[in-house]
Amino acid sequence: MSAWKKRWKRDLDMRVPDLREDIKNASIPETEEKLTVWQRFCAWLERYKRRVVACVASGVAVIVGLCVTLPHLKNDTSITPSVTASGSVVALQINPEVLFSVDGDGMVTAVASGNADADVILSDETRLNSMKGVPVYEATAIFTDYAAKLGFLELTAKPAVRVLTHEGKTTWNEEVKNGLESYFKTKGVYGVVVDECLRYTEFCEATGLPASQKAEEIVSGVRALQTLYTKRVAEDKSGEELKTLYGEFVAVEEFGAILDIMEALGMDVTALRELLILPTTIVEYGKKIDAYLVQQFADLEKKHNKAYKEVRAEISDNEYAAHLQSIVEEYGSISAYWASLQK
Amino acid sequence: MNGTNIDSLLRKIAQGDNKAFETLYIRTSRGVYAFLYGYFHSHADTEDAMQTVYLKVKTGIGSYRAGTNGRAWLLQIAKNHALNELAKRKNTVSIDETDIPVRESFDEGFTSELRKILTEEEYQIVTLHVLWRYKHREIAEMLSYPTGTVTSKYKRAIEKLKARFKEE
Repeated sequence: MSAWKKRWKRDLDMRVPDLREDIKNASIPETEEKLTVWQRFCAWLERYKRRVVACVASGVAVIVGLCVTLPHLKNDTSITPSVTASGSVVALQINPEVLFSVDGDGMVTAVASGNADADVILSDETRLNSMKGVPVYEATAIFTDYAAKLGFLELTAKPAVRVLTHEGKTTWNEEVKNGLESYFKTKGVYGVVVDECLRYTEFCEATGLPASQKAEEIVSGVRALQTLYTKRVAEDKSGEELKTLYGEFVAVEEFGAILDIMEALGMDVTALRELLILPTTIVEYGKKIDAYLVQQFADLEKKHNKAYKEVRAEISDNEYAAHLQSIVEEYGSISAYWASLQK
Repeated sequence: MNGTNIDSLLRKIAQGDNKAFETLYIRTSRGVYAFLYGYFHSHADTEDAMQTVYLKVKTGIGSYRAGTNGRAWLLQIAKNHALNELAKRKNTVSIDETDIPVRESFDEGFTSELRKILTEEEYQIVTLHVLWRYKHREIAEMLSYPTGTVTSKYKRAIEKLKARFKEE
């Protein structure tokens, strides 16, 4: 993307105000069904008439082609169906870790948590939907911003994020890397982006996906995933196993201690104390996880609000380049810097 | 922001889904802001207008026909609001949009600079193409220009921007 387009979008993102609470909360008037089925069909046809004509023409061409070629193919065993990779998967690792399924145009079609921490961000439908149907370089910047808001990304340190893509016809690592670097510069954060394009098997290993040698399988695998990691790993678990899992994710003792403090401060934590009781059914597990994630988001947002809202001067391209150079001089490479942060 | 996604969100809003409304704001606010700025030339006025436009989207959702062009519907609300506001300032009814006065802009920032470099038409075409992903042909239909005119105006706009921001 051109530099001026990026600058423009960054400027707009800074300018766009938050929606006022009274407008957010205003009720939506009830509406009646305006069109008959025929009218809706006509509206659809009017809108998509070019595509409909193109599809019909293509269909006729295919039928004619088949009529001509099929008789010759009857006993030909050398023809194999063509497999085209029309999409790909981009993984973003901060901690948290998240997977974006991307179509051929680079638009996000599905998002799934790569680990339990990502669930805090993706548990809300509005937040989740803000990352779908948008270019992957936008979605990754949105997710990174949430990670910063919740304190997963330390803005005052020199954080690093890793972008993984897999081999194939189209990789989006360049766009995503540029988008994230722009994000860091705008926010005044000396963040670093590691981007790696891996072979299929290495990518699956690095992201925890089932091993595969085909882009289509990896893409469809991510699209089929339950969005939240904590719910995905609970599938097909027994009652006792669910209790254990829940105890690991919720850290019941620490959470209990937090509730004691909240109660001492005069807050009503009756409903939250229900979350300390271990679930035994998958339905109960799902409801408690949902409620816990809402609480987690609110807690982390409040805790890190000051650091997140702090105004930092935008970093120039030269300053950023100098920062990357210093990292390379000290650690040998950006990847080595990332590895050092994981220890 | 493609038309299908916006149409799908507007349908959900019409069914009373407030979360869909918030998602619509997240997805479209940048484009609506840039669009309105083309009329107001003032960040302060544009910010105010944004709130009113989205309130009108919510309260007027009944007028949206599902399956039609969601993008165009949203932009029409924004345009109508902008023209009404500017007409109020003039305090007369003006059919000719070029008569409507615009407050002199002391704004800083990239959007403001962009608006100063480009003509009103060029800014509008660039906004619709870059932020709203309209094709030149679609923009030509919206603005009642030949497609070639839109293409050449867009090209001229890009040349100006590249020259100003020294792109390779």
